[in-house]
Amino acid sequence: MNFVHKTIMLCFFFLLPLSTVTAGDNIEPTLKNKAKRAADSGLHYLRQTQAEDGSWSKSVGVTALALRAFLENRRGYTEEDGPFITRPVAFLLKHVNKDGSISETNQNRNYNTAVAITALQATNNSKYADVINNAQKFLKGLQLDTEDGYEPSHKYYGGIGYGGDERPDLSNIYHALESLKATSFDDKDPLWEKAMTFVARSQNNSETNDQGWAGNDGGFAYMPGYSPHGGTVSYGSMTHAGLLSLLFAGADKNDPRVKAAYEWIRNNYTLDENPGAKKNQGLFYYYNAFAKSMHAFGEAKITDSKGVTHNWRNDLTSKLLSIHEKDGSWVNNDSPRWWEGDKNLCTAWVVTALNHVIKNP
Amino acid sequence: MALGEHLLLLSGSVLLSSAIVLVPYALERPAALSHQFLQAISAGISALVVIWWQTSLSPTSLIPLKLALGLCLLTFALITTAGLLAATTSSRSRAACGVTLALLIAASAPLWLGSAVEYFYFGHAAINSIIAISPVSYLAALADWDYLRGEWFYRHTPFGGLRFDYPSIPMTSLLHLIIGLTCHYIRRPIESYKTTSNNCIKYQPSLSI
Repeated sequence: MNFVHKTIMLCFFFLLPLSTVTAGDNIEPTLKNKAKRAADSGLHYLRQTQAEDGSWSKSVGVTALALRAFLENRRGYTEEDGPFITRPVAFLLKHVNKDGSISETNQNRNYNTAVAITALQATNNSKYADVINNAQKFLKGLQLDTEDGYEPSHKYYGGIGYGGDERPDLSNIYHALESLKATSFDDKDPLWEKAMTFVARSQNNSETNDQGWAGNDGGFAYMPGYSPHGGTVSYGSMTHAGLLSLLFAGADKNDPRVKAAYEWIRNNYTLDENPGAKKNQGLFYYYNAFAKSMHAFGEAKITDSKGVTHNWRNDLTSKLLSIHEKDGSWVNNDSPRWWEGDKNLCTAWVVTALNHVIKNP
Repeated sequence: MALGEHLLLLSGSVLLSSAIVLVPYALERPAALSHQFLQAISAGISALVVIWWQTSLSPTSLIPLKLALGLCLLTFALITTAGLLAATTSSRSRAACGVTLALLIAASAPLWLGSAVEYFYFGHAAINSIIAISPVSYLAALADWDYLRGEWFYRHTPFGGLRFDYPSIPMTSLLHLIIGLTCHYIRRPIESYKTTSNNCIKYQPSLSI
């Protein structure tokens, strides 16, 4: 054996354990291929259900989510790929309002605007910078603070609601923060700190939540003092949304709020349901937020409270494959709440989740 | 309290007052269309005064005017419906009570139909219809207030988590006007017929010897 062969053998010997670790952290190759095919199939479904004007479900929100699913896909779709990308972009731009919001309706203006600018940003087209800047200002204007008569001690201080009702909730602020983060909104802006106050007040963590109702499981309710699943119960979709909101607002893994949220996720680890929610309400929202939060948290594996270690990418892919409809879509057959009876919405959410699964850790 | 919530409470109070006070009053008066319009307009003006007095809306805001016009049309429909009921049942008090009860049932439809919507997975059109039945939804649309996603209704009905649209303002306004006019014009022949029948009975010569 000459020197070159010896060197190769030696390198192989030392690199083998390292490659094994990497393979263990990654999604299983067979599942990864299946995830890619499932995402393709979901996008194919969306191509079929796209309206002539480029929209999905006649909604700015659903259109933006579906567009994002295409733009963030591993295939790297861009506006140059054709009208199936340019038309939804035009549809979003058609619904830009004078106040900076992007919405076809006076309700849901926060959700619609937030997901619309996230999608526009994903085009990487600088032409939309002004639209995005104005929308950022609109979203900032929705935040409740002293100017709206909410003192810092008020439970709703720093929150953002639907945009037509003036009562905030964690889901709305999570979408707003995600879009502001994605569009590089000034990270020194007081909005983040105010948002952090509201997010912390939605968490069942009495150590960091000054509200009397706060429990101690570390999970998140829908808003301070209320959960649609009874009392102030924590549940999966909101806990992942809460964890993401904390990370967007600048908290790190050592933050006690982040640690508590992660502890809740460990203790309630499951992909068979939206843990803590009634009748599987918000299941696909859960899958979407789960994939994004676990990806953002940066751990490939999670050890549950029983000591079982899970590769969340493998688990999520297997689950999503098992509930994939024959026509390529996904839909919540248990509950239509939060629009989950809409196949376009659920499919867009799942494809975005799979896009995060396919990405390397 | 949020402005939209405040506006909805004020306009709802005016509507309920109209049903309780104005409808019985209108039933005592002649059934001329002009009278009924004037009574409906008085409800609209009351709403305008109450809203400007009780809120800090700018004088240039169109919301109070929209709400006043909406209340005017709703009251017109209430008065004429009560008039038609009074003509058919021959009881003014029963007609006034019936209309008030119907108003309360319709107004609270999103509350008591909420569980059914959740249970039976109603479609988009059915959900929109239930929401449109309630005059509160019409007033909320006029006040530009998403009341079903507001604090109280979000907790007590499932609608806030479902896809729906508020009723179209022009269409609902037109519908109230049509209901009002239809009830008015149906009432007249019924009343004429009843008057004629009564006269016939009254002036029927006695057959007894």
